[in-house]
Amino acid sequence: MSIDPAQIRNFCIIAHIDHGKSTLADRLLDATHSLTDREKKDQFLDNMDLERERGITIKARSVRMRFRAEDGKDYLLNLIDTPGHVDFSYEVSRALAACEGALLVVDAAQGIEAQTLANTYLATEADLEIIPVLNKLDLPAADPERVAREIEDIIGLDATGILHVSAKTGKGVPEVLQAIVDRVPAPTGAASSPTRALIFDSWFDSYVGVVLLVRVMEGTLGRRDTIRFMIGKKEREVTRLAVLEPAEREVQELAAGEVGIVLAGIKTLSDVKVGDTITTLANPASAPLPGFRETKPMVFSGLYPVDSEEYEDLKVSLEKLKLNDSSFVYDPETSAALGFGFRCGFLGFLHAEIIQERLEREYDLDLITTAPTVRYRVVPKSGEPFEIETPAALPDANEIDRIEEPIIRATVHVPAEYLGAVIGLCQDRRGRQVGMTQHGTRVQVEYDLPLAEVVTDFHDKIKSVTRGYGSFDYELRGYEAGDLVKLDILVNGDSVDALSLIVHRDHSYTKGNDLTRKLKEFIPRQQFQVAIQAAVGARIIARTSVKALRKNVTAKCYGGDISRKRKLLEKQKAGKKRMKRVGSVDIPQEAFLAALRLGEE
Amino acid sequence: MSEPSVGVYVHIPFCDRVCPYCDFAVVGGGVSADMQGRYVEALCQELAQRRDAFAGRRLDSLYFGGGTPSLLATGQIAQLVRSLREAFPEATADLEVTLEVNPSTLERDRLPGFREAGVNRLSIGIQSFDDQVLKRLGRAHLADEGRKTLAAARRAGFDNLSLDLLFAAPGQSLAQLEADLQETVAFAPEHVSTYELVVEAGTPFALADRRGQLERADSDAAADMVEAIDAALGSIGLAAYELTNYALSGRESAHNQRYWKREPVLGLGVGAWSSDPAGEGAPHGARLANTRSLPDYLDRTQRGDPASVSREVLAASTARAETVFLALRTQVGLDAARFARGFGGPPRTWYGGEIDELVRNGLLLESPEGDLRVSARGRMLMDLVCERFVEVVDEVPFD
Ligand SMILES: Nc1nc2c(ncn2[C@@H]2O[C@H](COP(=O)(O)OP(=O)(O)OP(=O)(O)O)[C@@H](O)[C@H]2O)c(=O)[nH]1
Ligand code: SF4
Ligand SMILES: [Mg+2]
Repeated sequence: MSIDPAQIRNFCIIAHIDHGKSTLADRLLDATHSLTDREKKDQFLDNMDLERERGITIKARSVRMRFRAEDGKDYLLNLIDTPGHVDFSYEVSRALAACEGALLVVDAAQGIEAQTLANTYLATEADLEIIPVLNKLDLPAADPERVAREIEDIIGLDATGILHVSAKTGKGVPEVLQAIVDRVPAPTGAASSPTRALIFDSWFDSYVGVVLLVRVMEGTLGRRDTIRFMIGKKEREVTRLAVLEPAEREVQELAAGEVGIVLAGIKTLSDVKVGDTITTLANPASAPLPGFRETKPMVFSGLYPVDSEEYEDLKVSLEKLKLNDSSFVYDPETSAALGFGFRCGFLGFLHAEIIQERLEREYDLDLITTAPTVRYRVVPKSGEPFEIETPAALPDANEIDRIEEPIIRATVHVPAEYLGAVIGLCQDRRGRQVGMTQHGTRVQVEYDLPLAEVVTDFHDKIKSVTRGYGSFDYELRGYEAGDLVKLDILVNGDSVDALSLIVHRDHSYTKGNDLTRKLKEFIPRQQFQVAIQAAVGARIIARTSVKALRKNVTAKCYGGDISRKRKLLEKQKAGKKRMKRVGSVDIPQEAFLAALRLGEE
Repeated sequence: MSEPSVGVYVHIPFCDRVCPYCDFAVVGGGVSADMQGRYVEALCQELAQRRDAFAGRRLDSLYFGGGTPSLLATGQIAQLVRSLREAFPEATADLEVTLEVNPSTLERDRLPGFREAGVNRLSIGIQSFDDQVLKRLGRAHLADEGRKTLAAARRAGFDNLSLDLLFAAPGQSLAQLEADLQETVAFAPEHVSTYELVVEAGTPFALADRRGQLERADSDAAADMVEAIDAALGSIGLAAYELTNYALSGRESAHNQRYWKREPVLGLGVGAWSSDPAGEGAPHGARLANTRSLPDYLDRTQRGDPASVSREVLAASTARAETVFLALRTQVGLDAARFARGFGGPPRTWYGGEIDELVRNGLLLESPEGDLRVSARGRMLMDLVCERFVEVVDEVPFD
């Protein structure tokens, strides 16, 4: 028996990072008695270790609740909590496609921030009913009148419909539930139409294989139905259907308007694409639903095992991780200095950091990560332009006509008093101002910036120069030629490929100096003097050296301490084996790590 | 080939007080005469247990080390020398009998007695002639005490004296070391052993160092000091016949050379090590380490149990590596023919690549016969050189 779509409401919670989406989700789960006391915990839906530790949402989560509304009827509310960080905005887009409405949460003390706007645009584009919710009303700094004005002025939503809540205390939460019932449209698709269900997320479960999260738009999906992936063109039998409440509950059918999970004996994620449409052979649809734009990695870096014997482990771990996160990509690569590893592409710097941390933690690997880089477009003097994702792939300078780099349009929201600092930062990063609007005490500035200048620490820098009050969002605009050069680091004349960088010519001197100085700190003295140089092409732009070791002998050797002496030598030798040899120079891991971390300081 | 021989090392673990950098097996402060007596008895018991492993060997050297062996009464040393000579009736004609001595009134008075007991070589723990350096090292004596002991040693008729000199002591300047060297040269000993201060884990110095309270010489300063030592001692004919040991020709320590040649040594007492000769199941000999605890040592010997707590049967590869790195420490270096007799092939059989690289880098010298010796630079980088000959084992057990 299917549920009357008029009784279903599908909505997601969107906001700027940290404005309280996951906490509000907790309160909604409370108010609908969806959790037992034993299950309850803060930010219940953030169930990944990393999410809990960092206090942020990385992956969108879906949960079904029951709510008895003022009209005395029971409604099925399907909530999707989304991440606020810009790196994960593709998660938001997908969630929106499964909903008719969105709660737009705004921190009543902070007001509108960059992702508030970015996510609002996404929701409007997806034609969703937006319910603005002012959160954190319990904070002494909360200024609901001002923020309500901002919502009217900047977003253009009517202030009279704004809800006031404290997700911390629960005040105002029942009103939110009622507003969802009243204002979010019920799904419109009919259960009798040909079946179309949108796959809007998937993950890998080691017991059951690939799990698909779907929103049935039209028609019905039943257990044992033979389904067809309309884009992937594969056919499968449904082995299990369930809804998340939040615990999994098996159902026999999912009908138009419902959200649930589908198991169909799929073993690998490459067999199925998020964004594909499922139909049934019994009641087939003629055309798929519009899918999602492909997410494209923006940031690249090399991942190498510290211990080269862990290469196979790393490979297997990447495969597994990829099953749960199709947005990152990887390819094998080799470095003379670091050995065998992988070139990986990420959506952003936080994404890169999170993948690396998961590898280290969940798979117990020690990794070296090379400096993040973006995808450059190389226009050679002859031949077709091509893109590179690693400095190593750059041809000789004399074969290149120009190098183009990706440019982003950054939108920064900032209280007026920090505007100067933000402008200074953007200029430093080779930014070009393209717009500025004032809203009360807050200013919105737009800059075109090279992506390479923002991939590492731009976000943190914005936060620190604005004491946490500034926020930033960006979108890719295209490619522009830049005065870019390849910076090589040489030890005793041999290039340390893992440390090569593509940088703007103006930054090459500082960068070269910083790198050579850092390496000097960490390369132990050896039997020869070690020259450390930074070079652009054939030109050395920075140099320093580690003096030759004059003396390397301490312990006397008497008594029978021969065994002990031998063990000391063995230990010393074992220590060297853990170093990477470039030419005849032994370089400890720490030197690479320190050099690669330079940008982050 | 010389006939089978043995050297005996006797460890006397007592010291007036324990120096803050010391990691030898020692017990400090007021050990009773009774305890000393029991210890000497225990040594005799251990000797009785262990002598068979060295049966039939000619006694080539006797060495009383510590700790501070001169804390024992002259009669006790005499008793030990007697027992050892009885245990190994055949001995080299002018058997070297060394006793380590620390400068103090008590020991000075005993010097003639030690001589009568059969001791013919003293190794005197001078360390420095600078009161400031001695105090920072936490030594029990001051410079004058050292000078008096040296004079007393000569007066007692010892014509084979070795001085211990310590360098790279906390805060020690090159000038301070040079003054020490000047005084050493003036005294003209037959032998000098130098020690660079090593901060050993678990010692009070290690703690102070971690807290940044130890003013340590860096490796460049230490290198300057080694050069100063070489020059000063060389000026009176003391040659570095081993990395840190200097002697007049003919006055090299017979006992210590046994170690560098990997010849059998019977170690007796707390914390002593032995190198047992090749035998059944141990074609390249075995290395034994005694318990480092005095009560445990007394218990074990009393029960008739072995005092050793570990016995390492040396693999051929280990023995080869040791042979090379010990020989390279000496001025004469590694005799390829002798090596081949022991292992069935010259060093290049196993270490061709290492030798080539070290020779190429100017650290090692190779004669047409394949004999190996470190260069002057190689001597300063001895650990880098020696490291090439050992094997990396997965987990290096470390005490
Ligand atoms: N005082 C107060 N704090 C709140 C309230 N709602 C959320 N917070 C706090 O704000 C912080 C962020 O809350 P989250 O719910 O994790 O925010 P989020 O929007 O889900 O964050 P992301 O998913 O990372 O974008 C947490 O420390 C919450 O405890 C509120 O109503 N009042
Ligand atoms: S005198 Fe020698 S053995 Fe005794 S404590 Fe000092 S350093 Fe150690
Ligand atoms: Mg969240």
